[in-house]
Amino acid sequence: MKNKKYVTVTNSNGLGLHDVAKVMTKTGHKMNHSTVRNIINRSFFKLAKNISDNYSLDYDAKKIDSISKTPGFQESIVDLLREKEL
Amino acid sequence: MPFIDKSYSDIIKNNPLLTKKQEINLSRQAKKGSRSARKKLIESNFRLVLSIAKKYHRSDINFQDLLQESSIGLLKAVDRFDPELGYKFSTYACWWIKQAALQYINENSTNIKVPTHSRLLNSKIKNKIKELEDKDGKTPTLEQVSEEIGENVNKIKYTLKSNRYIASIDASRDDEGNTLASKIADESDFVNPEVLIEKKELKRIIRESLSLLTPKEEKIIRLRFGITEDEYNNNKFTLTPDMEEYLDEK
Repeated sequence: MKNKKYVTVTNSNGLGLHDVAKVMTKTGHKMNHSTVRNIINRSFFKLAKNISDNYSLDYDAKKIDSISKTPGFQESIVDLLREKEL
Repeated sequence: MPFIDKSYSDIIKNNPLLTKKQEINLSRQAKKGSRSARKKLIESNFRLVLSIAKKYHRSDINFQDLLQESSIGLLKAVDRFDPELGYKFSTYACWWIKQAALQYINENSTNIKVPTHSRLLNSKIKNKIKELEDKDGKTPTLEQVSEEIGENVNKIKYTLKSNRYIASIDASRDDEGNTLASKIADESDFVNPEVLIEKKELKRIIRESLSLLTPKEEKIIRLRFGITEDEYNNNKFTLTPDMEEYLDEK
């Protein structure tokens, strides 16, 4: 089976990058879709790095970046964000 | 009533029972190499095969296969029968037929092959246990069974152990296709305390990590992945009227 490259948002009422950019712009944070993508990537990187540090895994930035972009990792974080009692 | 192939019923219909004299004559000719005499002897005794196969037939055994295997017993009996001893052919043949039928059942009824003598002893033990239960109203001890059957206790123990019913863990047990494996599987977190602690620890770390996100970052992730405020207890990121309006338009 081919590996999944992206986290799917179609079945979770999520918005596309352009739509997120529009909402954010309307609420006072002017940005375009690329900025939205970069912020998302940076956020997941931040999370992956903190988890890696907590487990003393000593991964380099490249490794953490690749982990943070995997659909499995992103889906797990999203699932945890959905949980009421995280 | 098991299904009987037409060719078998034709053989039985066209070959009436032989008299003792006919049996001896045909057997003598077969011994000298007459193929037709051998064939006649086999076909005339085929009803014996059918009768024995019916007796041993069970739901988990294919009747046609059992009939074929029992026929091999009849062939052996025809080849080994000695007419000069003065016995009827059926007296001799039925043992060979029974032996062939039992051997087939033994080899095909379970996944693990147990010697036929052990299986027969097992059935003898089970019958004796049932008989003693009916008589005394309680389950007999192994010593009692041993005394009744005339086998030592260790042999009885070993026989019962080796003839235990084997259940396949992957076989479907009901109409819904549930297997024993799926029933046994306990997916609760309490199965392995170590795994539970590891999961809790990971959740704690992720929760800490989530607090590293700025409000803007978290808002973007929520919008991107459709995580609504209702699904989250924290009211830090309530939707503004503008956002609600935009989402309603969508």
